[in-house]
Amino acid sequence: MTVNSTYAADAASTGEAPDFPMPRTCPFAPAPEYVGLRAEAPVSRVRVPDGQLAWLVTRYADVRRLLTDPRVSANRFHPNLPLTEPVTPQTRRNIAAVGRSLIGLDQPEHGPQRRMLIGDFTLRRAQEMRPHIQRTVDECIDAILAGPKPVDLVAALALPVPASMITKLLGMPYEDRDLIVRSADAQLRRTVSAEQRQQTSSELRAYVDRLVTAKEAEPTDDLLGRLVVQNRQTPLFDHDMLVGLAMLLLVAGFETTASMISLGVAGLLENPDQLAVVTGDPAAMGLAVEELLRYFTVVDALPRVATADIEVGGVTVRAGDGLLLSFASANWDTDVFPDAEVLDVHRGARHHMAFGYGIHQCIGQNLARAELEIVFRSLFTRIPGLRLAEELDGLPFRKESNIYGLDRLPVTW
Amino acid sequence: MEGGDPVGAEEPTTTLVVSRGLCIGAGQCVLSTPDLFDQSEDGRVLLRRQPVDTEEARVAVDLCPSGALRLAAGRSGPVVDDQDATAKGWG
Repeated sequence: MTVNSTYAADAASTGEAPDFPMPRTCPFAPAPEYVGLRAEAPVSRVRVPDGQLAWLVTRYADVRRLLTDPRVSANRFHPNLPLTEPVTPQTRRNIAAVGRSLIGLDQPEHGPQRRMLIGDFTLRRAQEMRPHIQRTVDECIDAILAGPKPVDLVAALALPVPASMITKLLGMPYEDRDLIVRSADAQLRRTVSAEQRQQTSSELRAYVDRLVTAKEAEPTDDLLGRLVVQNRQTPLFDHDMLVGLAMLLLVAGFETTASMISLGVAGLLENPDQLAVVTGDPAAMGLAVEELLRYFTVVDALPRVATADIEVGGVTVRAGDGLLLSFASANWDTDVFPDAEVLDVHRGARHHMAFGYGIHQCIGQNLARAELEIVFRSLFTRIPGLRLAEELDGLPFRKESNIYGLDRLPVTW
Repeated sequence: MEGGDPVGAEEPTTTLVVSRGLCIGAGQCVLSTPDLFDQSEDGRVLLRRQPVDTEEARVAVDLCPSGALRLAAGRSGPVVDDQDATAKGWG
């Protein structure tokens, strides 16, 4: 296949390429290799698990430029798209519908789909969700205070809050949230076997298919119901695309927020001076959330493919080459964020790329901000003596997941 | 200088260009500069008032992920373009 030819040439001329993903060594910091790569080789070859070579881009300016470059494609069906987890052909078919919606589309196909959805994701709509979020958070904290110590904050707070939000937003029964939890885990954890991933992706697909079918039969007043109605007036999605879109929103809107809740709590507890700033001044929470998003950047990198030769970072990326654009590295680029390794809630930086950049920037970002603000404010106000119940270094960080996070966060007070 | 003859204009000015057809509804402009920007019911950017001091729009322009907000050299603005850019195949 001609699109692969440059890889063979590159591999022959340059010898070994390091494996990607690169492991984190410090629980709060991105892979330490990024520091050297940003300085010495900001666009460099790496090898993903299936053996393919790709270009890892580590500087903020380069990542941001490529994310708005029309020669960089998000096409999920391109054979050179560098995937960081093993998948079977059946899983590829299961998630194919996801690739036909939003995340895998380039312009001009992307715009009309995105615009059919953005009315549900405005800042105003996120504000309107706040009472529901607050109620959910209050109930979780009530249960925590009434229960035994220590408590696992992942199970007691970090998972239930976004699960409640996404089920309400999409219009699915809250009782079905366990399936989302299991599916998100299996799709994103790299150590899950290809067969296991296939099984849960099939299970989730079947569930969402039934959900979408029900909405098509009787559209309800929720995101999926409204989408079905709008789609009758202006047909953009077939049934499979609606299923793919719902799967995408379920997984993307859930695990990322859950991760940021548990990491954010751990980050603030480990930095008591920073925690004191936000507990002393409620108005500081908005920008503190931005800093926590930058600092933890739970989605390390996203895959892309070049559709033309592109000069970037001192190298020529050839048409057909795979790209990995590292948000985690970009957000710790000291050219843009001085003392990037310091969690500084006064930094005031909104230009981080924790939500990505370009036309694919996170559609749910304002809901995520609302959830994080309410969770952190409520938790530290109602349980002022909160502290970790175990040493930070021993906690089960999700080093093998495409979305960084914690499996368990034992806290006491 | 507003409404004046562009030929021989003394100093270069900057114009805020708002391309609603490129907007993807991220809401970064509203979040960072709420007294200047808003979102319509359909999620796209709205300009709350005119004229615009381009300096106060600069943060939002930098944050805008889709190119819907940009600063261009030219006479006093802003320019609001309601054309649907997808028809042109933005890129």
